[in-house]
Amino acid sequence: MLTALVAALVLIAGWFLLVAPKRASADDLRTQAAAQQNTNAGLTVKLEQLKQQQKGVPAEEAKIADIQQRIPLNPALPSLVRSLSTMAASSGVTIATLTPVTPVPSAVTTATGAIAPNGSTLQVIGMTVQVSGSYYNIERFLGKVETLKRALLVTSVTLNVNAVAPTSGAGTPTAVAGTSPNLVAVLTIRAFMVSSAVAPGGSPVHAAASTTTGAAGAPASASTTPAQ
Amino acid sequence: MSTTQTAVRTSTQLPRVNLLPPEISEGAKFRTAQIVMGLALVASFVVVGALWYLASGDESAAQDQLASGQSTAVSLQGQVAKYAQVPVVYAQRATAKAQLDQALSQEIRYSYVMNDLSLTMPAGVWLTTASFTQPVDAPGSIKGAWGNPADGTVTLGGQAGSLPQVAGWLQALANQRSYTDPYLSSTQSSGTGASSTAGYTFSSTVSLSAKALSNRYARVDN
Repeated sequence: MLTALVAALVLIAGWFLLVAPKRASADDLRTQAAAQQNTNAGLTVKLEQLKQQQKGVPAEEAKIADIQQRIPLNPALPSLVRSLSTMAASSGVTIATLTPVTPVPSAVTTATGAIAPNGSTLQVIGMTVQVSGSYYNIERFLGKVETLKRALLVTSVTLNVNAVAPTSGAGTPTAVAGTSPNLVAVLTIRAFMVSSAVAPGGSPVHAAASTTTGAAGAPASASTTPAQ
Repeated sequence: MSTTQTAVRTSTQLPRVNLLPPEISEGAKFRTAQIVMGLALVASFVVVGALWYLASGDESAAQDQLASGQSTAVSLQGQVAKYAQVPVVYAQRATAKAQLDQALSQEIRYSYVMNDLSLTMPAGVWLTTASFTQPVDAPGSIKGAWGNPADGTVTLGGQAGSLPQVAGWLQALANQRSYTDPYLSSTQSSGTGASSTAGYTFSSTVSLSAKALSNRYARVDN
């Protein structure tokens, strides 16, 4: 009788002390393995997606480079002034003044994702450009400004008859109909740059410049004012 | 037949005498019971051992499965790490595109506006001043003279030979696709009828509707 009791105790103790922990451990390991397999499945899918995306990276980099030509990482004023000068010359207008102001953060409602992960934001370089020429030449100049590789946004245009221009139509109201007189156009234009180096309202060096030109595309004098 | 019956009768009728002492019989039974109990005890150990062995094998298999999965994960993570720059490039491109949209979402191509304006000038009307302004930082914040929402304001001053021509000028503005709310601010006679400059000066306003926006950067997947 005692032996039977001992045998029963051996069975019970063996189950709870030896077998059950092993089975629990095995169950736990199987659960972990299943979770790991799920993770691996996710990684496999992600890897396949990355491999597919990798094929498009050169095209994406080309698009980034293209956009950076439109919105460079610095004011790039030298190239902008040269472009405006060239466009003015080819359009038959004369740039009288060109007055950029220091970059400021864009106040336009921020588009989703417009702030880069590194915090760089869109900066606006406002400028006023005064040109003179006929209505159609000014229109042509505007067309070139709008299609320049550098992104430029014209926000206002003011046209007036050039009272001092030595043209036959000066002072007469023939701005559009008939022969166009010499007009003065004041254009407010925005150029853009992306920079994290400019604090809100800040002003990077080389940002401000004022150029006065004597003839179309030929700068007569230029002065650059360092930023405050 | 007779012989067989005789033999059976003899065997059943023979007296049987158990000469073993009862102690020996009891001892034999006791030893048998001891052996049975011992075997039962051994069997219980064997059962426990077998179950433990099976459970250990199960645990070992699960452990191997987990180790294999972890090894695969390390390998996959290594491969994924090789492509770490890929999502960065895509994110940079998305940011650049968003910034381009942000910059030029309010673009109006004023060369087109000027061209349309010049093509729709009615006879006998001349412009002397033109001003196009656009609050790009607060699109839709202005309203035209009629109360319609507008993206820009155009102020146009000029001369016309007669008041009907001024009216024709307003109609010409109203016919423009991207204009809305044309309005006459003022008009007055600019000279005598006999004078070569006889006619009316006028000032008018018109608003640029959302149709004037080029939206070319929103459409193109740059």
